Amino acid sequence: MLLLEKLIQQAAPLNLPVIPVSGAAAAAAAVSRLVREKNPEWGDTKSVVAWQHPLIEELNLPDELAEHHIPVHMPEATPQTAVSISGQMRTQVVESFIGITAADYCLAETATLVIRSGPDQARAISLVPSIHVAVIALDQIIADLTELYALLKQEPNSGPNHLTNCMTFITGPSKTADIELNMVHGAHGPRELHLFVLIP
Amino acid sequence: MAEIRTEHYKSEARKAIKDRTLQGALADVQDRLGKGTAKAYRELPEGPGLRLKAHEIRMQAVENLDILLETLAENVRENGGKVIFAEDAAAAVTECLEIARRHEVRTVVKGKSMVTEEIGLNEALTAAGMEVTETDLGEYIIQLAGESPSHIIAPAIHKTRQQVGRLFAEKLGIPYTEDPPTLTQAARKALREKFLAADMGISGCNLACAETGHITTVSNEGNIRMATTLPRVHVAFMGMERVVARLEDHDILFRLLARGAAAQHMAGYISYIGGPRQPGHADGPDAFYLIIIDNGRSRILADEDFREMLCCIRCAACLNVCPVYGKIGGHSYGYPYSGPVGAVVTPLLVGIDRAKHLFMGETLCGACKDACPVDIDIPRMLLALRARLVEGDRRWNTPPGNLVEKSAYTAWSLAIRNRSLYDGLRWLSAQAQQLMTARDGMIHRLPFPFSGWTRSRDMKPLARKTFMQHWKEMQKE
Amino acid sequence: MPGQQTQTVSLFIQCLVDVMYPEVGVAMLKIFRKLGIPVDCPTNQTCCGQPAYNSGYRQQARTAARKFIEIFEHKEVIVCPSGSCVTTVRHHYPDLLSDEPDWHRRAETVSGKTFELTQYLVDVLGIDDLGARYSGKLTYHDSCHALRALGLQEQPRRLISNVTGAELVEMNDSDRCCGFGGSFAIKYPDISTAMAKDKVDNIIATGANAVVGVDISCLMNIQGLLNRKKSPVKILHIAELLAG
Ligand code: SF4
Repeated sequence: MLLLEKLIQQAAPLNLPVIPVSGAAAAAAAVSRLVREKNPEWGDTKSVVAWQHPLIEELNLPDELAEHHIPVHMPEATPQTAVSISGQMRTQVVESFIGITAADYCLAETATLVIRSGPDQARAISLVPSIHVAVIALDQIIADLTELYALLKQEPNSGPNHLTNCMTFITGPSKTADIELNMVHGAHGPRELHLFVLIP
Repeated sequence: MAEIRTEHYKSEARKAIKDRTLQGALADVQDRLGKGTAKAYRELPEGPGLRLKAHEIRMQAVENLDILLETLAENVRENGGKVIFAEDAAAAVTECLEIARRHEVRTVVKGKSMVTEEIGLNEALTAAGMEVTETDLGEYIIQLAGESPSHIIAPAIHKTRQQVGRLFAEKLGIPYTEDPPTLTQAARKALREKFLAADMGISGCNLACAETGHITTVSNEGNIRMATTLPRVHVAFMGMERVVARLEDHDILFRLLARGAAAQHMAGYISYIGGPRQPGHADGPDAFYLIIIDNGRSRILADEDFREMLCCIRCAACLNVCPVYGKIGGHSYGYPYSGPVGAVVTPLLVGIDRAKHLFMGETLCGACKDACPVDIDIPRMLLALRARLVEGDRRWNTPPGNLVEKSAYTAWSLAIRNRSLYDGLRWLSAQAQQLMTARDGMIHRLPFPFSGWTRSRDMKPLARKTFMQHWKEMQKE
Repeated sequence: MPGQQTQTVSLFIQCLVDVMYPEVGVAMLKIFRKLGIPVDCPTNQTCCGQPAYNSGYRQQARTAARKFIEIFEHKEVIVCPSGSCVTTVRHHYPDLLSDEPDWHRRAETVSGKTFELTQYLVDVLGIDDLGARYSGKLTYHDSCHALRALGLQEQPRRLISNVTGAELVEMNDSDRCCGFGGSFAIKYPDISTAMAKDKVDNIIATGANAVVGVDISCLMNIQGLLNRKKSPVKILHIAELLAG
């Protein structure tokens, strides 16, 4: 819990809301509320794209949002495709205004999410939609970079490529200060990032 | 190669000093980032001394560069990427053009990368018929304006919001506005189209990890993630010095990089990229190329006096505290690298003689060293460059310097060895100065070569009696 | 420590003080006399060689260094009213003579016993109050080498704040270079002046009557601009203040 407090405190100045939720049902309700309240940045139909991941599947979002007629895409990788991202998935990612992912770790010290790419864990889902929602379990919060690198080295499958071909650290929503040093969120990546922490 | 305009240092500096808007922008950057960085270092649990540890890590890597690069290349290849070593700018550019041809690339999106500025990549790709779009907001602004970056990490700081507003109105066809969020949104929209359509993404590389075979890219905007995730092909360019040995080396370096570059605790996005999309993975480019560039770095490595410069992680912290940069801005340095880092790196890359103003036109105040996250001793190297310029150095194709000045210093060195001669010369100068002294007791005009001083400043004339004379008289009392 | 206090101080007089601002040297002498410290001054000294060294003329700087070492190597302790000259002797001499073992050793000896005035007073002698008086507001300019190479930040400020009647007002960016930089000021006058202007503006904004420093070279630069502006603000070397 100490780490969670630290995380909340570090996230605040980054405009990164950290929302602790008890159990999957509460989490599903909270995410669903967010989806309903927010408006799409491009166009006006709402759809959501999410990882196929146990933590997210548990929320049962497709059902949760069905009554509001908001589709939830959970694209599957198609290993055969010869393009970087399959046409269907690309359309789903581009059209969705919210992308929902899990994460491997979260560093309390800097409020940083650590996300590795995987078969059903598209990189684009935490990047292209206007709002990124991340769902993690309480025990995924670790102290800092030092602990992360130690853990990565100890992981059971720590073969040469256990980092995968893309491991990303995300600290807050996208931002820029390139015009007269004025801080603006949403330069290219998500304008908002919401982090839900599942408390068992 | 990027255009070299280092000869115009003085005249460009003069122009910059007269430019009121630029002066305001520079003061702002230094006030916020420069001071923020110092504060961020002080607040580190380990204190500013952590920079010494970072220096050690980088220096160790630089000293084992050959082995580390080999390991890196091996691991990247194992991860499915292709690695190309390019000896110079031309070779790097040719390789990239060849890759583009092979993959039938028509449109390119780029993340900010200093090394691609150094090799003049954009011009070459454009000349080959490709559409190249810079995607970092600052870079995008200056690309639209047809200018070059004036700061390593904030390339468009010389532009006011009004200038950006007019530029966007003209180039993007949006109604004029000077509201940064609205302008950012306009760029976001335009660039989103580019990202989604691009065939190739080009990035630089902040650090590369030899043991795992990953490069890292760092940004706050997310543009580099876009450019390295969506297009079919990703080409990363890396100066050969950017490698570190171990994964855990990134810990200290990233903590310091974020503080040095933007007074942050952690950059917004850091990606470790180890190759193309893995089989079965959801997305990512089909092909990944890492082009490792020498372009003069081996020569720097071979020279003990300057090897330390290869520790640089291009964070721009030194620009944000340099009092000279704070007055003359980035364009005066006549090459993509500006500020203290430019004052050392540029002469080593383009020629010591050709870029001499960059290291002569500095005050050796030392602020850069204290700001550097990897504690590079820039003042020491500025002095070493000055010595090379004077003495000449064949390894660097530098002929011995100005003979007239040299004779003057030699004469001076003789005079200071002999106090009577020294006193005699002092007496002569004092006589001459009497004629120049104005009624307020100060000199308002001095002849060449000292006229530079009195153009804006007065000078106290030599005293009637030296201290040594006073001392002797007092001893007699 | 009485042992240290009885060491004879040899005055290392910066060339600019010697020929342009001898009053600074005289003030320093007064300070040591007031403290009852024996002083001597080798009158065949001239210049430490910094101008040549900073311009890249190492051969010529070496000549100056050897001469300086010959004059001072047998002295007990060497004290100078300039942070940048002390930096030359302490940090650059050993480097400059690193290829000549004998000279290198001698350079190390000299470097170890050379101190800047405020450094010697505060750090070595442990004195931060000289019973001096001044009436008015003062501001302090941090000279680059004194600050960064010698770490002198607290020492001069402590000495100033103990001067009776003096009020120390900090200026904005006191640690920013004044734009002197030796031959830089002459070869790059536009840049140098632009930097000096900022410095002078910051000084004037404090409303101080005088700007205090530990290096006459910076003060000379500042004075040049203040005088051209016909500003009433004076320059004051810390030795002069402390001798008052
Ligand atoms: S020299 Fe140091 S401060 Fe300057 S850019 Fe390089 S790493 Fe950063």
